[in-house]
Amino acid sequence: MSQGDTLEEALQKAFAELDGFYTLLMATAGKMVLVRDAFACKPAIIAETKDYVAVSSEFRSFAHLPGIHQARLFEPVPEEIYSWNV
Amino acid sequence: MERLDLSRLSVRELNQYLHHELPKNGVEELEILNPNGLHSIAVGLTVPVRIRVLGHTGYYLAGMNQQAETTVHGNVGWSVAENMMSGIVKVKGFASECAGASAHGGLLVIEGSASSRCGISMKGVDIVVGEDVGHMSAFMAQAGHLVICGNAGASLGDSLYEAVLYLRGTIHSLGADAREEPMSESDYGTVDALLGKAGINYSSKEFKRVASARSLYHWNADAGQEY
Repeated sequence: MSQGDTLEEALQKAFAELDGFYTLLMATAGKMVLVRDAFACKPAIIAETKDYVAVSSEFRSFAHLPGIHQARLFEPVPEEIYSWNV
Repeated sequence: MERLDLSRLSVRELNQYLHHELPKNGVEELEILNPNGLHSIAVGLTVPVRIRVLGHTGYYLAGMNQQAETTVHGNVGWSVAENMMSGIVKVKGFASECAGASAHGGLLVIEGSASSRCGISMKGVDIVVGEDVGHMSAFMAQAGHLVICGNAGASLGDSLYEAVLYLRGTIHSLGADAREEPMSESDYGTVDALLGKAGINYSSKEFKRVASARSLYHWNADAGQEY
């Protein structure tokens, strides 16, 4: 990114460099980004509401969030870049 | 109808009741409230009880199930119905990874999508998925049927043994030794019967068959680890 790549471009290049299992959650001043490795051996789940985005390894930790029963729940697909703007 | 509330009971108390009291008291139907993503709900059941779970569950829901018929009105975490022997487990929402792992029998229905490794090492269970499955589904699957009404992710059926996969949508890629084969009359019958049991309305004519090419069954010293 110091050489001018956007966060998404830098991540796309990181897929070729990184080896092993990872889930990366990154934030800049205006954006939050999530990616999983190609194998997706580690659990991950996302809850989206109009008020917040929550990321965790399992639903258990979302269970008591406000409005969770109206949230859109889904699992991030491996090597797909999910981003949210503030 | 009996109602058990996991905001008042621990999972251990619930399961001890299901294992020790239920077989004696003759209750045939019950509801589990407030699962809130807890793990190991209703594992190891051995009686033909009908259970409705109202909410999302965590890992191993209805693992090792025998005879019981459990319906989850929500999503499930990893390894739903792992090692199931018989009975039915139905999920109204989506399932996380390893759904039906190593299951020997019974029927697992996921009305939404199943994540990666669905049916990994399945050993006789029938699995019907209403939407898509993730990568490495049916990895090393040994027996039973996996019916996928949507699309499959990468490496479907890698290192398949004798389980047979039926797929309505597209395949991102087949795994090692998995191949598409023509559907026979008995395949159409199998798919129609499983869709009927699952309560999912598609025609078996829309499905294709994926099974093992059996080229990995015997060690080939000349292959040089290239398959």
